[in-house]
Amino acid sequence: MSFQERKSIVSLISSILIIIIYSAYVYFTDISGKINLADDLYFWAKIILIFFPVMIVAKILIHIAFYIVSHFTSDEKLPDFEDELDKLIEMKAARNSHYFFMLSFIFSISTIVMGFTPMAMFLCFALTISGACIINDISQIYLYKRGF
Amino acid sequence: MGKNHLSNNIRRLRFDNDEMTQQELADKAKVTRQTIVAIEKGKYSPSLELAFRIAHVFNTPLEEVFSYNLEEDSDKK
Repeated sequence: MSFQERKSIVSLISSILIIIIYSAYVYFTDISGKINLADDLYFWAKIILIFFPVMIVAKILIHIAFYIVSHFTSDEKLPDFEDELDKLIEMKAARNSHYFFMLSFIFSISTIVMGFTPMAMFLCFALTISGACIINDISQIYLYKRGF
Repeated sequence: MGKNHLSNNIRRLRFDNDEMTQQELADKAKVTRQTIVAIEKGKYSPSLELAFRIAHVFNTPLEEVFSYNLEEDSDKK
C-alpha cells in the first residue's frame, strides 16, 4: 500500500473518530439533561461553529503525527510535494464531496419547510458536514486504488 | 470512464537504463513514486508535459515511451 493510500485511510479513520468523539462530548456535556433545545438556535449554531476549528486542528495534529510515525517506520521515501496525480485525485474527491454537500444542504433547509424544528435542521447540517468529509476521504482511497 | 488506450514501455526502458528504480525515475521526472507506479500499470494517463519529461529522462522520443492504440478506439465506432 502506497503512502498516499495510507494517508487517505488515516484521514478517513480520523474524520470518523473526530465526529464520534465530538458528538459524544457535546451530548454528555451540553445536551444531556437539558430540555427545550429543539428551538434553541443559538445553542445549535454554536455547536456547529465550534465543530469546524476542532475538526481542522485535530486533522492537522493527526497528519503531523502520521508523518512522524511514517518517517520512522517506513523504508519508503516520503513524498514532500503533491504532483499532478495527487492534485487530480484531490480535485475529483472534492467534487464528489461538494455534490453531497449541496444536496444535503438543500435537504437540511427543506426540513424547516416540512415543519420540523430548527434542531432537526442543525442535526442535518452536522450530518452534511460529517458526510462530506467522509465522502472526500473515501473518494481519495477509491481513486488511488483504481486509478484513472 | 473510458478504457485507457495508452500503453507504455516504461518498465522495459527502466530495465535498459541500468535497472533504474521507480523512485529514481520519479525523482528525475519530478513526480511521486505512486504516479510512476500508476502510469506503468496503465491506471493513469499522464499529462503531455509529464510524458515529455519521462521521455527526456530516458533520452528517447515520446512515441518510444508511450503509444496510443488506435484500433481499440476505432472498434467502438
